[in-house]
Amino acid sequence: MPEPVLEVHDLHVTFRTEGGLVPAVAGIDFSVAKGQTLAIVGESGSGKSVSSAAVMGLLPPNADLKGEVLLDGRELVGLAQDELRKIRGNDIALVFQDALSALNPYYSVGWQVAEAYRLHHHVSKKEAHQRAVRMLDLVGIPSAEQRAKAYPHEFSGGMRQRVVIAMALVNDPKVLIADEPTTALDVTVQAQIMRLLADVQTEFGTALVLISHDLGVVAEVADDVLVMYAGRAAEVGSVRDLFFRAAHPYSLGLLGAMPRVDVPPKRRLATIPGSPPSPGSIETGCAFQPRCAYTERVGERCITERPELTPRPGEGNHEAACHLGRRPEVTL
Amino acid sequence: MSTDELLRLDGVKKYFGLRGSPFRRAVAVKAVDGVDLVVRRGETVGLVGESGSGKSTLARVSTRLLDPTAGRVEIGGQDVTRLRGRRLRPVRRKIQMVFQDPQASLNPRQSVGTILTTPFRAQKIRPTRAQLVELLHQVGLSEEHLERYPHEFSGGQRQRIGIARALAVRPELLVCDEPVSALDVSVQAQVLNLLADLRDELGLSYVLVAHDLAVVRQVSDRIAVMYLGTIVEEGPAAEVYSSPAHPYTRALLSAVPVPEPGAVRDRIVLTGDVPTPIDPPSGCPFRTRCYKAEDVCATTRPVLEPVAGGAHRVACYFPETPLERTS
Repeated sequence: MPEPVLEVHDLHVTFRTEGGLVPAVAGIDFSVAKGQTLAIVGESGSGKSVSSAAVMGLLPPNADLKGEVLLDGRELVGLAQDELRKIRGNDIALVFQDALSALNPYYSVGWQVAEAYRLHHHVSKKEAHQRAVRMLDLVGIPSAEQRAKAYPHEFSGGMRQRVVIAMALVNDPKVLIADEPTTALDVTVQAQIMRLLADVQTEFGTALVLISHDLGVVAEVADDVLVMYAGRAAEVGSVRDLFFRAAHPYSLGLLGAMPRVDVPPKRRLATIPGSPPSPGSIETGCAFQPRCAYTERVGERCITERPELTPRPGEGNHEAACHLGRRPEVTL
Repeated sequence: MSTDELLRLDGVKKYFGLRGSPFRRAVAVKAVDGVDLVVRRGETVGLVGESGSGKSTLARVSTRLLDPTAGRVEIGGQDVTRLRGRRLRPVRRKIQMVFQDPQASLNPRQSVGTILTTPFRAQKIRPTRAQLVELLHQVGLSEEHLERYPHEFSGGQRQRIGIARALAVRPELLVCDEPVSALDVSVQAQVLNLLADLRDELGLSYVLVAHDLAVVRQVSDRIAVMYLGTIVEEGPAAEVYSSPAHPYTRALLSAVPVPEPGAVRDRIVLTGDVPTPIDPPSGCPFRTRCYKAEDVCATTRPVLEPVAGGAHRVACYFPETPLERTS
């Protein structure tokens, strides 16, 4: 097992709101090694985006963060803002879903990519500009030298996302966190961007944390997967563990609910009844229990006792948090 | 003219004018640029394409929420192209629309009961409470929901309310514009199953507009693939998906990731972006990104022609051969 670049232990994020404390993330662990891809999968309110904001130190002031975030063994939680600023954008970079809001409409894209470089390197503007043009070229922007002078509104959605990726990669980060990087894009453009990210990883050995709800994208690029539900890990494992040996009823439910483009459709899609709970609304037992088809078989325990992650058969670190000991059969 | 045809579009065009200014000359965005399409009773037609392909505009022209710039719209065998206001009302009973974002398409200050009453009132009908409850039951909600407001519901439930509202006047055809794209995967499946159930129970027909090709495959009998305002391929869903004839369709399908690690995909990654609909390419709209384009493609726009004599049609000078298509 290669040495992890980013390690997160027992991460808790609680928001202080007028309605009381809202535990958005209630104890998750994950790690990702050089050149590897970890996908964090979950639906609305699962805490997947909050987790990435926590790792980046980008939580709003009303959020309380507990736990450890280790980058190359160095603790990031509790670091002063100016220390964090040195790391953010340099060692860890973030790519958001919405490229348009991540770019400043008043500056040319070349300037913005160069700015990201100059923040972390003492170089002349000219050198920074040259570096920016090289990055824009690397992410596949045609005639990068010319296009560097253009403004964000002059780019298409896919090209803008390339600019944002260029900006994230300009400092050669060890870890790239991509939060739904292709959700706003058309599928042909999504294919271009995912290929670009894979190329970047091969070339620079970047560790990628991909936050996504699209199981197709996950199956294609992830090495490991963390399935989140209501702020906790429902299941973790290799991508093959998750897709071929899913042990949590929720993971199985997600797989069954997804229509496929490559095979003739089933008569009906498998569904999970109800909808994802709001964070913290289920305090005891398993958060998935109200929607789970297996709870009858297990009984009281699902309501009274929260399941912990326990090992499951698989390729290594396959674990699921479910009282149903054996693998649930596929319900169709 | 068969009454089996719920919707018929003939040479429909919709241009949006961008007014000129001292800095810019007046131009037209050719959102829909000559579309023929027929939807028959009991059928679900999936309209797929990427952003800017004109699929949503076409949906709005079909339901006469927009006036076509040119061409003819027939609903239930009746030419409705030029109908307006009161005379359009009986037509609206036959065709209704479900919108993408239930958050934006439901009035937050109206209770579900009021929301569901609105389509009846537009038809000058006073619904009974039993009728409203019946609607809620059809979409899997219950009587207790009548007095609640949209914010009290989850996204999936709100979309059910949007569907119930569309069903109120007992339409024959529902035009659904991205009905599940705002929903979580687990909830999306519920709504897709609901649409299938309603089709079986009420004999509904659908036009389903969506960018998610897997979603469209799940529920459609027939598929029309749009690119830059035109239909480039059309045919039975099973055939279009298993052996696409247009290079664009083939590239589009190959780009969709499959939820199976290690699945071998013969992916065609298109270069560049969709050209602007203000100034589309001459001839075939796809030729600027096509891996098969030759000189002839720039001359005249190819028309839809049958593939192997069937119901499957493609607008391409160099359609995929059967061997290429099944690879």
